[in-house]
Amino acid sequence: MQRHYSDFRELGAELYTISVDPPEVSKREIVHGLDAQFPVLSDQNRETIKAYGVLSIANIAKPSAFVIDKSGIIRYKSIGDTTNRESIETLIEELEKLSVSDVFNLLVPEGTSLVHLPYVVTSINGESRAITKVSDLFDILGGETNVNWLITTPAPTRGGSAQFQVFFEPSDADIPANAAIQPYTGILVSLRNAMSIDLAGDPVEGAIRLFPGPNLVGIPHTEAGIRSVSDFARFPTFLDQITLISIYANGTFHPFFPNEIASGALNDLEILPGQAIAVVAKGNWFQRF
Amino acid sequence: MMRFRTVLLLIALFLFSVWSNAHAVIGNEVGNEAPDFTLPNTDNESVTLSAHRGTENVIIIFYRGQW
Repeated sequence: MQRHYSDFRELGAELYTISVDPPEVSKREIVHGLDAQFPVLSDQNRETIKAYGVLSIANIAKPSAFVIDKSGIIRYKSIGDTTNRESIETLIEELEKLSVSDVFNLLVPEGTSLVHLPYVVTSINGESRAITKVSDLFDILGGETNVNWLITTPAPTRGGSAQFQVFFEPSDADIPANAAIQPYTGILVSLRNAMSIDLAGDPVEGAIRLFPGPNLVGIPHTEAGIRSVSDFARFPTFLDQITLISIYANGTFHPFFPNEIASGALNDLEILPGQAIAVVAKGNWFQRF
Repeated sequence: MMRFRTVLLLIALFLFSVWSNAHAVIGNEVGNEAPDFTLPNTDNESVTLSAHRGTENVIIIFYRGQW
């Protein structure tokens, strides 16, 4: 495991090993005994082991491995021997899949536009930098001298609920502009001057989630994803749940109704990566892409 | 220091508000949001999974232990 720890680190991943052993036992047995440099964590009350569903009948952890991506989503799970060569190679392959950085140009025009970030952004215009919070995006778009206003649904704080908020200025360290940007959520923004930004990062898991009422929806940038309004005809359950879709293009909102999308009788519009749409939904809907 | 101000949009641009939790489902299956944890390392320092969010991927390996 020690030998592979550097492989994991090279792929930009942290490794944690977890058992029920108290810290002092792990320190004696693993850190001193095996001269291990990787982090060894102690879950004596078994809460984490239970949360991951790997508590054995002997009341200890079943050997198992999980790969968790930057957005906190489990991308790979394996129960059984995790330290043999084959398992480690599989883990490395899974990590390599996550480490393929994609680059795309986010063009935010002057005036109003509906955008979203289909990547966990790790680089902006070639410079290593992350966009994780609403205030980060505000700064990237030129700060308060360029952003008239920005509306999105930041991630709810623990126990709180998500709600649309308008930001007129970036924050320092204050909530809620400090709140995390949600990958599934669109951002309605008004700029004084257009911004063209080259973003690089890892695509977030593609999904569309609707709640009753109006939604700002980021369109997943995946192979099976949506490239134009007519592509929504492939999802009849989606059309059943919506009242209308609105695309902002060429300076105006273009409404589309479910019956015209289903019948194909529409003036189709392209949906570009990084573009978001407004959807008025009747009920809840969730789909991965 | 920049002044900070937000306004709740209850009935404004789209005449609505959405009160809903938009997180992915927390669970132990592929596609779920990984359950967060804070556990002590061998130096008794707390390590929190969610501290890596937005910065790096994480591998977790559970093992039987020595006991």
